[in-house]
Amino acid sequence: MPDTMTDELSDRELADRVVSSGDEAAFRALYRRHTPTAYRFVLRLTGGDAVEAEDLVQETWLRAARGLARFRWTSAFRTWLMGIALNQFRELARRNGRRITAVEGEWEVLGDAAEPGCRIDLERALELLPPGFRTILVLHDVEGFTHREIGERLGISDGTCKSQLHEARKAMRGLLNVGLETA
Amino acid sequence: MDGGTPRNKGGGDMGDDIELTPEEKMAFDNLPREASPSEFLEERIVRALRKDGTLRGSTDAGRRLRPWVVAVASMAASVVLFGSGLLLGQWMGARNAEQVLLAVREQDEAQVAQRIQEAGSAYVTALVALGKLRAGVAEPSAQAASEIRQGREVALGALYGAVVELARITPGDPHISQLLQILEERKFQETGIVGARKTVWF
Repeated sequence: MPDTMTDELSDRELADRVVSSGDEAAFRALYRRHTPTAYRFVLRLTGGDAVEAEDLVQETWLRAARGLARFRWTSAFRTWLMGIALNQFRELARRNGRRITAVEGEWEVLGDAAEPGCRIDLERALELLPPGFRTILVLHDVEGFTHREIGERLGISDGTCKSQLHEARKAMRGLLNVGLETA
Repeated sequence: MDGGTPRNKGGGDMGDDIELTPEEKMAFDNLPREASPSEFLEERIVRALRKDGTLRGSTDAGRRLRPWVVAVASMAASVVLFGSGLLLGQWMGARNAEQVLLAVREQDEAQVAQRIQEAGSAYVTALVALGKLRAGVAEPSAQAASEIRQGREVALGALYGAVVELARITPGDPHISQLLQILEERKFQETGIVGARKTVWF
């Protein structure tokens, strides 16, 4: 019964309950409503690393819950949550010395795409791309961020974002063509 | 991005010089939008938020575990109860009623650790016996193979149940969390391959 009740509430109503009374059921309803999307998002950003993706989702929700009172509702809750997830991903990449805002020099395809006769799909191609290419493709072509939004989120210029997308799409096509030609 | 609704898919904003083909756009459109993390992620997060006071009060809503978790936990609990019950029965049989009642009153909580140790010893001893059974049969019959497999499944179920309980007792322990995660991943992998698991009733 309480599940049904909370499921009918809007994100804002649930968030208000969490902020005002630490309502656990309301938090769980929010979590269940948005986690599948957030998890898929970070799973893609991490190139399919489920452990890393879960850590990111956990950190995202902890920060979101603790910062709910400061959320001004000028955007959708999901947008805000995904922004936190992206920030967490950036932070993790920074800690691990992974570059997600630029790809320099040559890069090498690792894993099954390099195997003769192997056909890969788009999801696999995204996993095989360098983090920088993958990030820009996920944000722009999968999630629908504009160059300006990506620039703001990643701290890069629109021009850098565009050239990164250009290179990323070329790389993705290269991977898919290799896979298709050898199939 | 606005409320999770893509509005720029396929590129085209600000003059990209590589446009996606209709097939590529469709491939991006068809990518799955959702995925489910492991069962216990929610519990980990809720525990952390309870601990720092962000969440207060615990309701039953949403705390229901999936049926397979309940089944495994029940099985594990059955194994532990069976083992400790057996040991308790032997122990009680060796003493007269008056002494037993006195001991139960006096020891109670202090005996918890001892019971865990006894149940643990029984668990390990049973596994050693299972190992010997397996090693001693070069080509087991279908029935023997089934019993060995059942024993292994019950052992893993008990181990999993024990780790779940340990994680509840010490939510901040990173080693326990890792162990839980490993067992969980294994469980998902096995569930995907093997399908329905057998339930052993005591």
